[in-house]
Amino acid sequence: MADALLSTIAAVLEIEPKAVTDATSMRTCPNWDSLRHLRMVMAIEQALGVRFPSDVIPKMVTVARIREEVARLNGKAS
Amino acid sequence: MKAERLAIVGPFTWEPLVPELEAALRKFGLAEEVAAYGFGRDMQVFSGGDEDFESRPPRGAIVVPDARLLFQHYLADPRCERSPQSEGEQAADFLCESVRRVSARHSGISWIVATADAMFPGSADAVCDPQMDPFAVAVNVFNACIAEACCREAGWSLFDRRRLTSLYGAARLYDARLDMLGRFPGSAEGMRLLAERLAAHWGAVQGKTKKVLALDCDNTLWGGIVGEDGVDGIQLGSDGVGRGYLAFQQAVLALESRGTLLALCSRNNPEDVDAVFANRPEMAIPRDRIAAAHIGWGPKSEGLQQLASTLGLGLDSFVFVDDNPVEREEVRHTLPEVAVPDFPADPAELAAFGYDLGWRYFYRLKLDESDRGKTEQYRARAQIESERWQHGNPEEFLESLQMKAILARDSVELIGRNSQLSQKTNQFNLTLRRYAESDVRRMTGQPDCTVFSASLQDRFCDHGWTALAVLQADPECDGWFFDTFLVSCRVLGRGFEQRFATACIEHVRKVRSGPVRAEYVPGPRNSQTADFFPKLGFRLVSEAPDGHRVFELGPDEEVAHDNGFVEIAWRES
Repeated sequence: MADALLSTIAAVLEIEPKAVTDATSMRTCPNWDSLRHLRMVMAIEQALGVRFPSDVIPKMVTVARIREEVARLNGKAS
Repeated sequence: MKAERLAIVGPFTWEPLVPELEAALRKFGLAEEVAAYGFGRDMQVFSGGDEDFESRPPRGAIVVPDARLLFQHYLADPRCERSPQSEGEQAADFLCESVRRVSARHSGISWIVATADAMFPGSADAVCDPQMDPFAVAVNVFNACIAEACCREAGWSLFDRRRLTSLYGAARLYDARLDMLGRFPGSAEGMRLLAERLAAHWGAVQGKTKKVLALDCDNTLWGGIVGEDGVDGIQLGSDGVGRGYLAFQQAVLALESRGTLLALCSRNNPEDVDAVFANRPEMAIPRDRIAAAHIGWGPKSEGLQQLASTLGLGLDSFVFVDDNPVEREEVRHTLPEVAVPDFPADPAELAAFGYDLGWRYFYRLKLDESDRGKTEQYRARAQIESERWQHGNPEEFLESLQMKAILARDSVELIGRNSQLSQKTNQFNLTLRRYAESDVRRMTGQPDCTVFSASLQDRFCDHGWTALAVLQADPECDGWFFDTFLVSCRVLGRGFEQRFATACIEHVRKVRSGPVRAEYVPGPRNSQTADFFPKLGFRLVSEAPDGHRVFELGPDEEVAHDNGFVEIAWRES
């Protein structure tokens, strides 16, 4: 699942999958703008079958935060 | 050369829709690049302040209004005193006026105007008492006004988003989170579906509409297999599963009445199929609404090829519907140019599937007279083909047809038909220039350009307006140039095309007496026209390596064609 998450994020950001780590964030990645952020949300929801609440979406600004949120929605401890 | 552009204009974030729309356009063989003018920029497009739009005006523009912005005062205060009727009218007037202003600067744009949709479940359309829900009333009035404007204005067409909403439901098409956080025009699925339908619509504007619906019979037009279950054993009618098939037939018949030709392509004994048409009164499709049939035992791809030659139409204008996935695969594999949609797994879905075929493949912007009775014309064509074989003497046969051609010049009435012909005629079309209605309108009535139309009647039927020629003046040599010469294939091979060309030349020579030039631009299916002008006495002037040829008929040279058996008359313009 981690792979699916990283590859989805990489595809939306149009960067090498290897370049995506948990530390990748909106602040450090120039391609990660607010428009791509929402497209990433759409892509992750479709790939992983989850649905993020709208108040959480603006806070998911790092890959680590996204992973935590996916795990929470899937009912697992992060 | 830069790609043609299709603009999408409206107060949303269009970027996520752009790749979906471009992908959907490719499936229709359309290469447009999509340019998005979203929230904030949409008003600049209308005011002329968007530099990108002004410097590279698109070939088409889709305008998508947002009901919530147009009528926000009713959402803010439902007891607002302003009349929803006049608010709806004013908003529509403002939008139409804005589009007209852009059109005045860039006359070549084809406009697609979308209806306003409220974008959230349960809103609009629910309550029609203006006291109770002025928002819904204003939206409905607005939509009715823009629908009317789209009928009235040349080069405009209406895209009814609410039809998409009623097909799939607002809850599926829209995503309140993506709307709130990013003004996205829909959910991921909603944007994909919107893109698909917009592409079909733009395809229709560009004349990329399919012409023939070829249908299997068993388990497609009726439930069961007639050869096994018998004429009385098949399922069709007003009860149970038979209702699904009946509804599908009704949807198919509705397509036929809007100009789609129906054909049967079935593996059966012809007598069995005939018996169903003759003896099952529940059949919604009468036998005489089927333009051609291929009932036999060979592969479906062969049947379709035969149908194409009987009807004189290319396979790329065919849609093939069959319940059997193996048959569908065989056709997809052997004839990739035929569109083959998946078939619903459950007969209950057949009605929706049938009506949806219209939107997906046979989308029409408007109907004209030539769309009615088309089946009859093609049936007549098939009959003429068979009589031609029976007549030993071809001249006697042509004479027996009693052909009469009516010709018109610069007819304003025929602008829509002329554009349609330029877009749909692929075979007997010398230059393959495609003209939108707005292009034809621009050329019609210009002093240095003449648009000729011709219709043909014979003793079987009136074939309607089936030929178009555009002649541009060439002031340098005081002559003329055939910008366009095309004839619909259902009237070819009887001397009509030669008679029409001769009449055009005779007419323009009265205005300018210099040489008349013509060209042949090779395309995928028009090779039969390469020697059309030489046979009329034109000289070959040049030929490019790609086969592009230029011909000329000198000022004193006569057209090498007698009047044949076609009588002509000019219509008063």
